[in-house]
Amino acid sequence: MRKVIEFLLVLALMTASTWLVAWWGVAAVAALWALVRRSDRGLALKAGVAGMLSWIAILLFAASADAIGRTAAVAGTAMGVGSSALLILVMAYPALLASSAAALVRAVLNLALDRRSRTGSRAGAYRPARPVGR
Amino acid sequence: MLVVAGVSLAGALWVGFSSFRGAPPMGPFLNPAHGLFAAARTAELPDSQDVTLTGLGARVEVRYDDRGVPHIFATTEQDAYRALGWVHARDRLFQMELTQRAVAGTLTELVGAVALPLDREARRQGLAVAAEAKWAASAPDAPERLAIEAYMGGVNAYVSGMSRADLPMEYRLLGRRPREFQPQDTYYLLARMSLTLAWQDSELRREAVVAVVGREATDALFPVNAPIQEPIQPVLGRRAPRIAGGRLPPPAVPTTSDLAEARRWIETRELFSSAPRLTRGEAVVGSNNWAVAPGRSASAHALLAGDPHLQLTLPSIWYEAHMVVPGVLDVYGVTLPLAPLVPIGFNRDVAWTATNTGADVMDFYTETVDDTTAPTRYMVDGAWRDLESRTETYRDAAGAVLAVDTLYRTHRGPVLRTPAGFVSMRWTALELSDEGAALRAASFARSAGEWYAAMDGYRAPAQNFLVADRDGHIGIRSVGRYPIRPQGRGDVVFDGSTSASDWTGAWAEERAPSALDPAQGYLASANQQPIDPAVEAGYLGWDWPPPWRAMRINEILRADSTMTPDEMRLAHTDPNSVLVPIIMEPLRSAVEAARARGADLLADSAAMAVLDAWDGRFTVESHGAVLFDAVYTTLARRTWDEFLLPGATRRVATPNSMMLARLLDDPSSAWWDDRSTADALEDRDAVLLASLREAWADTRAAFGADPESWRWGDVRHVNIRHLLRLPGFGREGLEVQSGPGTLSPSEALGTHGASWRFVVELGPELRAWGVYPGGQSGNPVSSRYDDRISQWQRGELAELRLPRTPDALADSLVAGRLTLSPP
Repeated sequence: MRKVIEFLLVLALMTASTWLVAWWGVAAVAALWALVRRSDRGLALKAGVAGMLSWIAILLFAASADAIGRTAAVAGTAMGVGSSALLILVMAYPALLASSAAALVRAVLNLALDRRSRTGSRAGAYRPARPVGR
Repeated sequence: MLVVAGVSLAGALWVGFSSFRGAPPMGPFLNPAHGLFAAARTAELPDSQDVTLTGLGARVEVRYDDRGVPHIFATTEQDAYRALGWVHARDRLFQMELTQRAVAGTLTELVGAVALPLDREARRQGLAVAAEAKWAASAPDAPERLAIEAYMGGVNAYVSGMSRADLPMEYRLLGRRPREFQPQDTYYLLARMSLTLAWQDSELRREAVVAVVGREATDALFPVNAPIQEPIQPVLGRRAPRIAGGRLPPPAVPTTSDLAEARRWIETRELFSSAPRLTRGEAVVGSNNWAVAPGRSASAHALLAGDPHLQLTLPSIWYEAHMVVPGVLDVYGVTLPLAPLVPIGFNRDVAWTATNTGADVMDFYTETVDDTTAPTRYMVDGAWRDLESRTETYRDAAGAVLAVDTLYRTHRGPVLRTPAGFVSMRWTALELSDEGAALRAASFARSAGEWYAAMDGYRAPAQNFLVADRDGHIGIRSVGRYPIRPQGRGDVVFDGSTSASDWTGAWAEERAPSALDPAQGYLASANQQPIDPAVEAGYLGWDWPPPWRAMRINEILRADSTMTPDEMRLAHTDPNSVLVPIIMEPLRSAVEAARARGADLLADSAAMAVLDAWDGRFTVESHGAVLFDAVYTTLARRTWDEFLLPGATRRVATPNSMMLARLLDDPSSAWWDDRSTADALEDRDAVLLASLREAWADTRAAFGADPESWRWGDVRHVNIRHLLRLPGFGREGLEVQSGPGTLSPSEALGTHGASWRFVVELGPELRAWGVYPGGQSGNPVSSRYDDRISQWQRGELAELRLPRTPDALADSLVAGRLTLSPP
C-alpha cells in the first residue's frame, strides 16, 4: 500500500511539474525519486511508467479523447508520421525522460558507492538505504 | 548502465531542447499541458469568459451564436472594432500574420528559406511600400485610422494576454511565436486583395502571343471588346446578348526569332509574378451577384444575392461577424481577419456585395537605362531621370541574412531587369487611395445612394458593387480607378522613353458603368465586360471573361417575376450552362454530316448517344457531363494548337471560350487546321470528330467502358487547402454541382470557388442566409474549423442570426458568452 501511495505521489508530482514548470519536469522528479530510493532496482521502470501516466493524465484531464484523437490525426498527418506514431511518441517520450533520469542517478550513486567501498569508506559515511516497504 | 542511461537522457533532452531540420524542439511541442495537444483544449468556445481589455471605453458583450458567429454589442464604434480585433485574433491569429507577411515579403522570418522566392516576388511587386505610404498619408484623427488602431489594439491585447495553450497549431509546428501587429497591417491586407483581384499582367503574355500568331490574330482573339455583349449596365430595351460575328484572321507562322521573342516575354511575366493570376480570359475567379427590385420578388421586397469566388482555403478568407453600437452601427457580414471592415454584408437598411470588375489597371513600359549592370538613371523624353533604389534584406527567423536585393523604381513604379530589357510597371494599387475609409463609411449608409456616396474614395481593386436597400432601390456600379492612356488602350507594352506613354488621368466617376433601379427590375454581374462599347466606347480593359454566367443569371431572373430567397439560393448552384448548346450543336451537326458521308464510326454514335441522353446539367451523378467535359477540353486543346511552342507542354495563352464559340460558326477557318498534320487540312468538323473520338476513348479508359458508371462527381472536385498546404489541414476531393460555364464554374485544380454565398431580403425586418466553405475557427481540431463545408457542398444556406441586443439571442442559440471589460 505504501508503495502504491509513493507511486501516486510521484505521479502527481510529475503531472504538476509538467503543467506548472516544463516538459522536463518528469525527468527532474524521476531523478529526485532515484536519489531518495536509490536501492530500488525497478525504479527506472517505475519512473518511466509514472512519466508516461502523468502525461496521459494531463491529456485526458485537459481534453476529451475524441479531441486528442483529432489533434493527433491532424498534426500526425501534417508531420508525415500518422496519428498513432504521434500518440506513441507523446507517451514514450516522458517514459524515456523519466526512466533514463532515474537510471542515471541510480547508476551514478552506485558508482560512487562502489568507489567508496573499494577505497575503504569511513564509518557512517554511507549507509545503504532501507528498502521501501519493509 | 551508466553509459546507457546517460546517453538516453542526453538524447531525450537534446531532442527536447533542440530544433532539427525545421522541426520544433520536441519537449515543448509534445508537452501535453502547453504543447501541441493544448490545441484540443482550446478548440471550442468557452461557455462563458470574462476578459479585461485595455483601451476599452466601456464593457462589451459578445455572444457567439450556434454557427460560431460573434455578435458584438458595444457602446462606441471604437470599442466594437477593438472587440472585433480580439475575436479575430482568437480564431484566426496565424492567418492574420501569414497575410501580412505574404505582402511584406517576410515569410522567410516565419517559415524559413523555403519562402525566399515568394518574398522576393512580393517585394518586387512593391505592395508593402504602397501600404506603408497609404497609412502614412492618413490623417491621425481620421475615423478609419482610429478604427484600425482600436482594432489592432484588440489584436495585440489578445496576443499579449494569451496563454501558452492558446498558441495556434501552425506556430507550434513551425516553432514560432506571433509577432506584434501594427495598424498599417490592415493596408497590407487590402493590398493583398488588389494582388488577388487586380493584378493584370496579361499584356506581357500578350506580347508573346503577338510573336507566335501575329498582331492581327492577337487583336481578334484577345480583343478589347467582347464579341458577346451582356453588360452589367443594362441596355434599355435589350433582352438578349448582342453578338458580333465575323471571321477571325488566320494565324501567322512564327519564325525562330519570333519564338525566342515569345519566350523572352513569358520569362519576363514570370519575373513579375510566378503565380497564375486568372482574372482575365477564362477566369476561374468567377464571382456573381444579382438583385431584384420589389416588383419582381414574391414578398415585394428587394432581394440581393452575393457569390464572390476566390481561392478556397482553410481557414477561409472570410470571417462572419456582427457589430452593434446602438443608434450608431449595426452591421453584419463577412470580414477579412486583419481589418475592421465589412467588404460584403448588410446593415438594417442596405445590403451590398461585389464581383471583380477585371478592368485594366496595370501597364508595363520598356525603360532605357544608363547602365544595364548597375543602373542609376532612366531616360524620358531624351533626358535622364534618377532611378530610385532601395536595398531589400531577407532574413530567417533567427535574423540571419538569407539574401539581399537592390530594387529600382521609376516615376511609374517598380522596374525589373528582365529578358526583354528593363521593364517598369504602373498599377493603381500602388497609388495613394483609402479603401479603408470608404468601406468603413459605407457600413453606416442608410440607402443605396448613401452607400455609393460613401464609396467615393474607393480605388482598388475595382469592383462591381451591387447594392439593394429597404426602400426597394437596387443599384450597381463598377467602383474603382480606371486610368486614361493617351493611346486609348492599355493592352500593349508601352515605350517608357517617352512621357506620351504615361497615364493622363482617370475616368470621371459618372462615366463608370452603373445602373440604379433599371426598368427591367433586376441587375446582375459576373465579371463580364461591364458596359457595352456601343454605350461607352472608352477603354476599360480587354480579353473579358465570357458572359456565360451573366447570361444564365439574366435568363433565370427574366423568366421569374416573383423571385423568392430560396430561388435566389438555388441559382447559386444552378447546374445549367449556356456553353453546352454552343458546343453540342456543331458537334451533333459534325456527326450527322459524317453519317451522311458514310464515314460514321460506331464509336461516334455511341458517344453521341451518351451526350444526347444527357440533360446538359452538371450534377454530381451525371454521366454525360463527364464525356462533355472531356470533349470540350480536347476540342480547346486541338483547336488552339498554334499557341503551343515547340517543346513546351503549356500553351503561351488560350483564347477564352467566347472565341471558341465564335470559331465554331466558321467551319473553314484556318484555325481549325492541325499544324502537326502537314499533309492534311482539317476543318471544324474534322476537329470536332477527332475531339469526340479522343474524349470517348480517354473517358472509357479512365472511368470504364460502361457510361452508366461514370459520375461527374468523380471527375471534378473542389480542393480546399490549408494556407500553408499542410497535409491533414485541408479538405480535398469534395464533390460539388458545378461545371464549365455554370454559375459556380469548375476548373481542373478545384482550388477556386464560391467563397461566400448569401441572400438578403430587405423587408421591414431584414432576413438573411449565408454560408462559406470552412468554419469560423482557424484551429484544425475545432468543430468550428470546417463545420460549414457539407452545407456549402449541398448548396444550402444557414439562416443568419440578427439580434439587436445581447438578450435577443435565445439561450438555445448561444454557443458562448464573452464579456470584455476595461481595466
